[in-house]
Amino acid sequence: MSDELIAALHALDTVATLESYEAVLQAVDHLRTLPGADIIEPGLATRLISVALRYEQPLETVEAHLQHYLAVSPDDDPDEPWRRCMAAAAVAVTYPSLVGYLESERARVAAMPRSATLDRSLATTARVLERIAAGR
Amino acid sequence: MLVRRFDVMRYLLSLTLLCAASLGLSCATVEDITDDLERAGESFSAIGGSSESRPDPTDCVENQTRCLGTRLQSRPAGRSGHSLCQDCHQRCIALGTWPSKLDNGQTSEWWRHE
Repeated sequence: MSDELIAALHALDTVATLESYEAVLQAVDHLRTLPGADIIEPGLATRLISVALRYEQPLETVEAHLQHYLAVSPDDDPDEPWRRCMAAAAVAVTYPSLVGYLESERARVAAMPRSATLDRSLATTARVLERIAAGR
Repeated sequence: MLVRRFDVMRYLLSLTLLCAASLGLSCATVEDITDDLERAGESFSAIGGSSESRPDPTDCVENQTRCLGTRLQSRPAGRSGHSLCQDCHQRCIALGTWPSKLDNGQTSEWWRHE
């Protein structure tokens, strides 16, 4: 990762994130123009979900960010399945009508070969689904 | 920081016991002084102790804000450019409290990386 990309990510995570949702969108647009930015598109996508939730954006906006993240999340990265579950879980707790994304991700993880991380992810997902069922 | 405070308190308690013994004070008097010193120590920690100045674990936004200002933020979080503090923030929203760890075992305890 280039120094320019690292500096831009740092600015995104501090200045823009602490300022406003709009500032993050601008910072992400700038980041996407930098060389090598395609590698970190999943990271930008999860940031957009997190910031949309932080700044209480409407369901349609949050859902669009989640759909984008799920589309760009690489299948060959072992750290992505639990992260996809977690992103879908945060969205589902905020907007329970979007729980279908979490259930789909849980099913994907359940079909994968077992590992300690994925077992923890399944346990976390089960707890989140219980929270949603109980109305948080 | 907190450890140094405990060291200071331990030193003060030892000094008190030593002085009391040399002055020939009764056990009850020594206990009173020791209690006063312990209370003073607790108050001292409550004012400036790092654990006490932490935001409520259920305050995901404030914990995320504090996390972004620590060294934890610059730690690598996967090869796709993710951010540990954002991951922790999402887990906080999902479960209702700021986590101590993520599902992959990475720490979320930003206060240990200030």
